[in-house]
Parts: sequence; C-alpha cells; structure tokens
Amino acid sequence: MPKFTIDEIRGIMDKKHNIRNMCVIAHVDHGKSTLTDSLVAAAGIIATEAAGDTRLTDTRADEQERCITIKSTGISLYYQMADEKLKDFKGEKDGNDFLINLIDSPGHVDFSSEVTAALRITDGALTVVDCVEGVCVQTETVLRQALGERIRPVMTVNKLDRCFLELMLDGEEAFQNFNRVIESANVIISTYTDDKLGECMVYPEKGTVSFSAGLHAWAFTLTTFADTYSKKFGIDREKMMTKLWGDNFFDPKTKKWTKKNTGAPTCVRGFVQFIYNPIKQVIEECMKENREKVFQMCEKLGVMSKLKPEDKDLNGKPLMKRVMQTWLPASDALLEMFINHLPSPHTAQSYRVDTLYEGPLDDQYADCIRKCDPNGPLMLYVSKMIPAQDKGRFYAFGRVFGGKCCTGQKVRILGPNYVPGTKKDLYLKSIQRTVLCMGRKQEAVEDVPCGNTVALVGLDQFIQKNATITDQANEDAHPIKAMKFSVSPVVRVAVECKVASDLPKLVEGLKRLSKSDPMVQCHIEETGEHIIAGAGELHLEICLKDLQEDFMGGAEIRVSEPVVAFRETVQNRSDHTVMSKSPNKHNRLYIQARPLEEGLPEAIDEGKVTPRDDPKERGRLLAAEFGWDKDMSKKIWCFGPDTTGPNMFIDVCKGVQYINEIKDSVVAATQWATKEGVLAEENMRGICFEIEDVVLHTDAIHRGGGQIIPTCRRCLYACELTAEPRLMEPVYLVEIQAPEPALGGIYSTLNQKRGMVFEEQQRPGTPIYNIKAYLPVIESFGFTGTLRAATSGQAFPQCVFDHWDLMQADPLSPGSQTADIIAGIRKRKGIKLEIQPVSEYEDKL
Amino acid sequence: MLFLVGLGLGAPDDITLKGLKAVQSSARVYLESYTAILPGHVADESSSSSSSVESVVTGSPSGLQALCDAYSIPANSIKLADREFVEQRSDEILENTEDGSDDEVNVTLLVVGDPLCATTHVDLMLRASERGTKVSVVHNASIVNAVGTCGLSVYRYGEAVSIVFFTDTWQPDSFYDKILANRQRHNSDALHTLCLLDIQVKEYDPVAMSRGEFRRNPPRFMDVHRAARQLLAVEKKRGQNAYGADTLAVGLARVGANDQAVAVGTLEEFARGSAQERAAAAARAASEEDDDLDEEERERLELGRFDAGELGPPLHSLVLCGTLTDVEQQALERWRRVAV
Repeated sequence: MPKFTIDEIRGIMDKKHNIRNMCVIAHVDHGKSTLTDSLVAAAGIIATEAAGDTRLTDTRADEQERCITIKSTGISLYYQMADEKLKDFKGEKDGNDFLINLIDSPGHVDFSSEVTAALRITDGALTVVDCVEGVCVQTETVLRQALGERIRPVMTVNKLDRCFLELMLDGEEAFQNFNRVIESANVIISTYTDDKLGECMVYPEKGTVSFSAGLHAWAFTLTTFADTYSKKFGIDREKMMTKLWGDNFFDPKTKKWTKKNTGAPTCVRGFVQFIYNPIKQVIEECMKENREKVFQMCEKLGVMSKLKPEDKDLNGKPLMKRVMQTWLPASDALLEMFINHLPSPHTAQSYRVDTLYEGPLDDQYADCIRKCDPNGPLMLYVSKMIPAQDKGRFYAFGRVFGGKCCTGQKVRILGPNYVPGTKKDLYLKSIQRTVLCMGRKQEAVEDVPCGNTVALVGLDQFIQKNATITDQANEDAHPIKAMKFSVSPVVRVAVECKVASDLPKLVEGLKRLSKSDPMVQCHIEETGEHIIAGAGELHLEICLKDLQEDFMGGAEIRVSEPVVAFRETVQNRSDHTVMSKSPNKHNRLYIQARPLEEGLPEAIDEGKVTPRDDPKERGRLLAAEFGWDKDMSKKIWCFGPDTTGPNMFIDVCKGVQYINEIKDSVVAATQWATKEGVLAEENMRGICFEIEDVVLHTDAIHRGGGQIIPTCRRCLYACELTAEPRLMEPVYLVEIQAPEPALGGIYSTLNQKRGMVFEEQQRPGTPIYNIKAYLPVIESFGFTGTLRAATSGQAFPQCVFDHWDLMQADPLSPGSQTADIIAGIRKRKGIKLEIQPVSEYEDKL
Repeated sequence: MLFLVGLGLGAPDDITLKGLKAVQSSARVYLESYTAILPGHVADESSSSSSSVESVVTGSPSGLQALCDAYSIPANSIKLADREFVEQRSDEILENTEDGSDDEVNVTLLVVGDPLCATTHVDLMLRASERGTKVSVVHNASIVNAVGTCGLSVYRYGEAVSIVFFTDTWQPDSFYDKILANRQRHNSDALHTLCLLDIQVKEYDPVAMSRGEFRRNPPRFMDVHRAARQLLAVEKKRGQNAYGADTLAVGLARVGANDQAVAVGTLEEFARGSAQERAAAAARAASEEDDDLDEEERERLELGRFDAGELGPPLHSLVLCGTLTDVEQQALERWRRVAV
C-alpha cells in the first residue's frame, strides 16, 4: 500500500515551495528506470525488496521485455523529510512534506523527442552516468537539451556495484574513474551553460553529485558520510565534505590531513579511506557470506536493528543488497539531493519565463508564470499525449505554469499554429477531468494548481501533439513556445494494409499514432502512400508495432523498405537573374538564388536565428557571425519551409512600388517551393533567394495570390536549377563501444557502409574502445545486425542524427549517383521521372 | 479571325447587333467568366440571388442556355473560359484562327462589359497578332462609362482604383495614394474616384497553395459596405486625410441591369449599413460556438454570403464624390431618398 493518500498529495500541491518537478535523463542502459524504482519504493508504491527489479515506470510490455524505456512516464511521489536531512536546505519551504513529480525518460537516441517533452515540464534533471562507461553521446545530447530549457542538473554516478563486483577496482582507480566521469560531464555543462540559469556544474563536495547502485538500491552523497565523520572527528560538517573529495589525503598513523600524497603507505585519499574502502569491505564480506563479520559491521553502522529476521538468512548478492539498501538507502541520498539542490517551480519559473512564454514578457500571463501564481490566469502546456486504457483516447499530459486547472473548466486550446488575435488553430472546450499520473495508474483530482504536472481528460480530439491551454476569458494570452527537438524524422517507411477493407482502420490508426508520439510524422504522398517518418530504425519499429497492435486492433499491415529523406541545396549563385511572368503577363519577378553562409542553416535549426527574433538583434548576430550587411536582416521576408526552416527569402529591391503588396503571395510561394524543391520535391536547405526587381500591375486586383504564387514558385525553381543544385543526405554520428579484438570487424563494416571514423579512444583503465564515426543514414539499415555479426556481438552502436552532408555528384548530369537517387524518389512519389528544364520555369522578355 | 465582343452590363440582349453577327458567324464561342458576371440575365429564372450568380459562375446549363437562346445559336455552343483557360491555354482559343489559312474559322470571346475597358485582354490580342490572327473588337458599355447613370459627370473622374478583399496579412492599400491624388489637387476641385470592387470567382486558397494543394475558395464579391469599411481602415492607418467618415459616396449595384440600384451616403453610413449585419453574424457565430463546424470553414461561408443590404446582390461599385457641381448635386438628390 502506498504510504500516502491522494488527498495528501493534493494538499501539498498548493505548497509551491515544496514541489520538485524533475526528470531522470541518461544514456541508454545507464540505469535510469532501475534507479527510479528505489524512489518509488521509498514512497511505498512498490515493495522495497522489489526495488531495482520492477522498473515500474516501464509501463509497457515491450519496455519490460526489451529492458529499455520507450515512453517517458510520469509519477507523483510524496515524502516526509526528517529535519536532520534538511539541514542544508536553503530557500523557502512550507513544512517537511515534499511532492516530487518525477518523469522517467528513455535513453535511446531514437526516443529523445520523449526527453524533450519531459524536460519542458520539469525544472530539474537527475543525470545518470554509468561509472564504467562514462559520459556517452546521449548523455551529452540530453544535458545540452536540459540546459537549453534552463533545467538545473544534478548527477549520480551509477552502477557502482560494477566497480566492486565486476572490475574489482581498488580505491584510487575508482576515484580517478569517478572524477573523470564528473569532469567530463562538467565540461559539457559549462559549454552549454546559460547565464540566467547560473552556475550549474556539479561537485560531489557540494552535494550535487551522488554515487549509486540502482540495481541494489543503494546510494550516497558525501553528506551522508560527512555527517558521521564530522561527529567522530569533531570537524565542521562542511569542511568534512571538502575533505572527502579531491586531493585530500589522510594518514591514520599521523592523524593528519595533507593536500598531497605524502608517500607513506598508510596515507590514503580521504574518499578512499572513509567511503570507498568501508563499502568495499561490507560488500566483500557479504559476498563471502562471512555472516559473523557482516553482522558485526552492521551493528557498528547501526543497521542491524533495521534488518528483518528473515533478511539474516539471505546469501551472497541478496544479502549484500539487503545490507547495503538498509545502510545507504538510495532514496534518502537522492531525495536529499533533489530537495536541497533542485529548484522549486517558484524559483525555476522566475528564470524560465523568457524561454517559455512567446508573448510580451510584461503582460499578466508572463507575470503569472514568473511568480508561479496559483491565483493568476491559467497557463498550461501540454507536452505530450499519453494513450489511455480506453483504446483510442488520450490523456493530455503537461504542466501548469500559472493559475489552476479544474475539472469542468472551460478553456481555450491554442494549437501550435495559433496566431494571437485570430481563430486559427483555436478551440474552446471543457476539461472533463484532471488526473494525476502515478506510473501505471491515474488518480482523479478536483483541480491542479500551478507548478505541478497534470493529465487532462476530454481534450484529446482538439490537441494534435502539444498545445497551450488557458482560461476561456484570456483572449489576449500568447501561447507557450513550441519545443525544439534535437532529432529529426529522417527515416521513413510506407505502410499499406494487407486487406483493403482495413484502410479506414489504417487512416484512423495513423492519426492516433501521430498523436501518441511527439516526433513521428504521418502523411499521405501524392501517390496515395501512407508514410511514417521517425528518428531511426528502432523508433520506427516501435511505432509500427504500436500502430498495428494498439491503434489498428491487430489488422495486418505491409511495410515498405525504409527510405531516407534528402534535402535540396545550391552550391553557387544563380548564373543569371531569373525572370518569370505571371499568367496574365502583367507581373514579372526577377530573383536569384545563392547558398546561405556556412553554419547559418544549422543556426536556424538550433533556433539561434529565427523569424521571431527582433530584426535589429538578428541583424547584429548575422553581421557578427555570418558577415551580413547589418540592414539586410530587416529585409528578410520569410524562412521556409513551415516558416521556420533553413531557407530564406530576402528583398534586395530598391524603391519598387507596391512590392509590399505581393509579400504575402511571395511568402506563400516560398513555403511551397522550399517544401517541395525542383529536383525531387524534397525540402530545400541552405538556400537564400533574393528578389532583385519586380514589374507589377498598378491594380491590386491583377496581382493577387492567384497570379503571384504560381509565378514566384516557378521563378524559385528556375533559380534553384541555375545555381548548381545538389542533394544533401542525412548522416548519423555513430558511437560504438567494443573491446579491442572487435575493432577489425567494426572498421570493415564501417568501410562497407561508407562510414568514416573520426575518433578512436581507449577508455582509460579498461580494454574497451570508443569509436565515433559518421554513417550515412541510408546505409544504416541493418547496420546494427551486420556489425554484431562481424564482431561476434561484441560491438553495440548508437546512432544519432548529426548533420546533412552535401553529395558532390551533379544531379543534372544523367547517370550520376544523385541523378539515380532523384529518379528513384520521383518514381516513388509518382511525379514525372525527368527533372524539368529551366525553360519550363523561366520566361523570356 | 478573333472577335472580342463586349456584352454590356445588364442582360443578354445588351449585345450589339455587330456583336451578335460575330457570335453567329463563329465556329467557337467562349464566355470569359472571371472578371465580371452578367447578373441580370438569369435573375428572372430563380428568385435566390446567390444561385443566379453561381449558375453563371459555375457554368450551369441554365445560365449559358439563356445566352444561347438570346443569340439564336445552337444550345451548348458557348463554352465557359475561366482565368486559367484564357491566360494559360490561349492556344486552344486561337486554334485555326490564322488569317488566310485554309481552315480558318471565326472565334468569339464574349466579355462582360467592354473587352478592353476595365478588363484588359490586350495580352490575348498580342498573342493573336503573333500567330497572324486578325482581331476585331466590338465595344459595349462598361462600368467605366455606365457609372454616369448616377449623375456624376464622367469627365470629372480621376484615376480609377480597385479594392481587393483584405486578409489579416495582405492589405494592399496603394489605391489610397491614387485617391489622395484625385482629391487633393493643387488649386483645383477634387475629382471623383471610381472604386471597382474585388470579384473572386475561382481563386485558389493561398494558404492551401503554399502547402502545394489546390483548393478553390468559394466565389465572393465585395459589397459597398465592406469596401467602405476597408477604405476607412486605410485612412485611419495612413492618416493623410484623403477622405473621411463624412465623405460623400455613391454605391451602385448591378449597373445596366433592370434592377440596377444606386444609393448615396457618407462612407460612415455605408460602413455602418453592414455593421448590423456583422453583429447578426457574430450572434450567429456565438450560438453555433459548440458546433463541430470547422472554424475556417465557417468564416469562409460567412464571407461568401452576399450582403442583403439595400443595394441587393452583386456586383457593386463605389464612387467617392469629389467636388460636386450644382447639377451633380441635384442628380444625387434623387438617390438620397432611397439612401442607406
């Protein structure tokens, strides 16, 4: 039985200083879900004995089976803290009861969109790092994402049991190992740190790093030990903390602390002497089943009384687990760290508001978010949709940033395309129920005040993937900013149903699939094919399984070979200014294309340069980093595709009449053309279009959208064709960990797949090598399988989308590699096989 | 030979004798259907104004049939030519019309109003000449001269302007400068300004078009009320005092048709006339709020509905009065009685 009731939880939700919203982030297999279990156990939801084995937050059968987390899962936990534990607490609190809204997130890169969705609604992150594997590619990705969202990290060095049981490291080795892990994490943190968030680096001596063994449910921070030893030595607690980490050595003989190793055989580093060795001793004795010695030590540690009689009969590992768990309960150390070092919503929202709110930062909504004011207007962000038990329905899962949301409340739903002041993508609906997520269960509550996570029932038909929700009356509220994903859906498959009569099921199924996953994209090609696009092979596999089993009631589907999305770009400026005439011949557009400056498309992807920036600031940035003329920034008409993509349209005309009156049509045409380029109707990337001159009819009636949009599109196509068009292919960064003998197999597999190794490093102290390489996405299908076969299963790759790579071959010369690719794409899309000549799009005077 | 035949404004029998002969001598007859509509000629058949417009616009048999009957030519011999057809497939129109060729035939393009007046078919003429086709133009009344019906002297008009439907983001207001020039002339009287109002018969939806989809908007026609509102909005924005709420204006509807209507009032009065309607629409929208009808869809329906103001169904034109002579003033008094 849980140690708390829903009423208790609801009560504490009003105390905004006593809430911590946090998520657990890490590389795949570093033990997030396992560690989460200890916390859940401490809250009494699962038995303490089962902690580490249940993985309660892996709610899906396939997650349990594969031992990996696929969906992020929320759970609200309630703890009562002892006064003693709160000694280090600074800042405001209201009693000793704390509510932790915890979200466990997936570690596999293919699911990092889930992490993005989780980060948006939390304020702090527990970064879990495997003490042996160290900081991996996904650790870096998620840390970067977290800091970008102004999420404060704390860290735990996990899987300590491996040091003792598997690698048998001695104290000094272990310390060096841990120190390296922490330092490399700090390097990442300092790279992406944000001024407003302040200093975020983690240090064991400050209590922001803990050491844990999730599987055995024990963990400690230096505070845990500092408490004990400060009493024993009579040293100040905080001073003791610093002594227990870093270059502080103690010689029990002389009873002196030194900054350097004196060389005396008895002189040992503080951490090793007082922390590592005692733990090592306990574990070793347990494993030797030297009961007498073990219980003797337990007595000393004051643990004996807490052990149950039946525990004393356990053997080997189970005995060790019980002893360690009782001595250093993971939940104590972790909770202490969360509560002392992670911000409350009240604190966090004050600096997060400007990265969250899209509207003016001085209006009442921004103010309400900043102050986390439960009496202000409702501001709620839905970051993902969770499938409900009731098939076909979804909970809208999100966070209340301001005000309160209640059962039955009438709300405005602002979709991602909502434009303030219009009715676009706007719905007025009532919340049927507000519920709390408790892992596998949901519990209904009357209302939820700001600072908490919440799931809403009854809005699923009106929310595609995410939305901002506000009171019905708040007509001038702007939406909360959309999330930026770190991965893009570059791998796609076409699906069709085996039985034609299942088509309606497929269509409905795709709709639900698209809702259930923040990243997946479903759309219909002109050929009528249903396309699903995902981040990688595994992501697609899971999506397809969900589609078939959960959203289509098991109807059979046929899946095509995966295909890859390409991009179209240009290498040079158009060889002449292209002119196109409108159908009524009264209007002429003169445009040129050129490549965007190097690095600018990436800056746009990352959101450093966006259409919403203040033109002046953007001008400064473009001038400083990309050598633009300062005033040019004001002349950017639009980005595209989807108004935010990495292509631009710029007006470089001088004093042309009426030009602003065709802006709308030109922008629409640019969206269209950049979405479907001339080569293969793939998105364009890194192209800048400059309109140099126009001839326009004096009467607005003769230069409406019907005249200008098709003309402008034709003109842009001709521009692309005359500027040395090229294809770009997506490339993965693949990280492979393997022992030395497997290296040969890895290299030969990579060679065969057009991969390029750019880093090979041996992990200090281990025989394991870490290889980083670039691998074209198109070659990645079946890569894992081939690699495993070539290395007798010793190598395990992680692929994450890294960049778009220019393909040198000229797509306009027949028979080239890219020409073949384009022919393939055009055939698949059901458009004319040949690229149309420039004359098709350009007009002569 | 290509005949560009003006149909006049009112009814099928407004065609000139010369034009009729051209039609009857032609192997192919096209009716240009996107720059104007003939409102009068089917109004008798159905009482609902919107369906009459629709029937011509969409080329319903009844509308074209009426024309064939009036011109005593075989049924179904008039083809509807929409914007795309005239602009992008002119070759089809001009096929076998080359002068002196063996299989030369006559082709007629019927244009509502005058073929070369408000609507310019100069481009078609040029393309015809390129092919060696002779072009004969049969003129007829156009709004540009028929506007004289309201009593303002045709000599005293300045440059004509057209006013298009504003959207949230697209509000071309270059007409403002022209009106300003017409009305604020150094040392002389202000000129009248004829405002031609937007007609969108088969326009593509630009939003859908930017997604690469082709979806046509339902036909819509601007009425004087909306025009007045847009004019006032632009004045507010530009603030150069080209005109104001109390500027006298003349609203004309279906000029040349039997049920032609004229109203005189200030811009504000015209704008207000439709405000009531807007209130009604708002009330309607509120009551339908929980309806599952798509927002956008509803808005479009709303806009597509014709204003049932005093002037009645489209087409509407608006004249901004300049300085009035005594005679003009007297002439306008007639309409003041049936004013807004």
